[in-house]
Amino acid sequence: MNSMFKILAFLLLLCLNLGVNAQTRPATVTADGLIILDATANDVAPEYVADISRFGLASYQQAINYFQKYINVTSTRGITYTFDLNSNEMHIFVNTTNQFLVPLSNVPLTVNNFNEALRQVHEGLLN
Amino acid sequence: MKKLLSIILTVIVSVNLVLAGGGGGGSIFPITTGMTGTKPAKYPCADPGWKTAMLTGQTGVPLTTGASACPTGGCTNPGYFAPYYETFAFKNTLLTPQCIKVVWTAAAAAGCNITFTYMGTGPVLLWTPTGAPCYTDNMGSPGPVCMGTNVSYGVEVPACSDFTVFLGNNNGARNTFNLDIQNATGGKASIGCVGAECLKVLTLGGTPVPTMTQWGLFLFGLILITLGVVTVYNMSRRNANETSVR
Repeated sequence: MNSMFKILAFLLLLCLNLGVNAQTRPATVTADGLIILDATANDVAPEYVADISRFGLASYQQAINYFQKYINVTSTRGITYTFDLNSNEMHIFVNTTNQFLVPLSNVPLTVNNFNEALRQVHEGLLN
Repeated sequence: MKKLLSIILTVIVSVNLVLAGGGGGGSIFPITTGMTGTKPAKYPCADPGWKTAMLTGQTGVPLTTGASACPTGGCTNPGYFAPYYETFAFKNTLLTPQCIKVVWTAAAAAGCNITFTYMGTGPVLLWTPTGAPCYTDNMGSPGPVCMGTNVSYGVEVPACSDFTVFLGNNNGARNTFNLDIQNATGGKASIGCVGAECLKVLTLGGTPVPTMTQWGLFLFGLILITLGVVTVYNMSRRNANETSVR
């Protein structure tokens, strides 16, 4: 009986962990700094994680400087960023319920909507 | 001495007359709007060049699929909300197609506001549950993005044709925006109000040719300078003679 409870507890923890990870999806940062959120699923996840090891960012300030244009344009409009330099990761948080980056329409927001906005920020078309 | 000073002043005035060519006119841009339902003071066109409206219900307007550039942008219309909007009508006053750049700037980002430009002055096309209309003529917009503090897009306006710039509130606060319309090189676009005459720009040999009035002023100035020099010379001769007599 005890071992069954232990197995059930383990399975429960495993399932919860999977549930949490499902809220975090991958993102890509191209060599020239364009951020692309994974669009495998249409709906927008609250968090994306991108590998930034290729940029060799040695400090938090360097990371902020490199992604400054995104931070300047989007951080007060629904997208925020944190950096985990130990893991060479950038975490991108998307607040779909309180964002002013992508206009609302008669269809639900999709990841591509945000990718379009991020691309415009990257190209300097949106400030 | 007083005569000499008056002559010098006359020469200076004449030179200024020569240099004063046809002065450039002031620009109506930027046009500032607070999206308050009041026609902006600097917008010069008579009604109904400027319109404002409120949309109710789940309806909306089209935008382009991405940031548009001349000549146009592809349209998408899932119905972007614009519960408040205003439109500014203008006309391309050139007898050739003109690539314009619509530039909106704001001191700070506020809420989500959207913009697009379409040809003509017809009513804004609205999304309905049974249809998602798009402008079949040239259409420009920055794409499906909220405007922020600085957004611009290009679209080509046919020769001697009207076009309308749309500004609407999509979500959250409205904002105070400055509107500027530039040509492809960032200079002043050749635009006017609906109904304005269209002009053909002529360039002779690539160099501006002075007008007859400017030639006349130039010659008048030369004559005055000549008279002034002769007068000064005569006066100096007279003074020299008077001194030698004494």
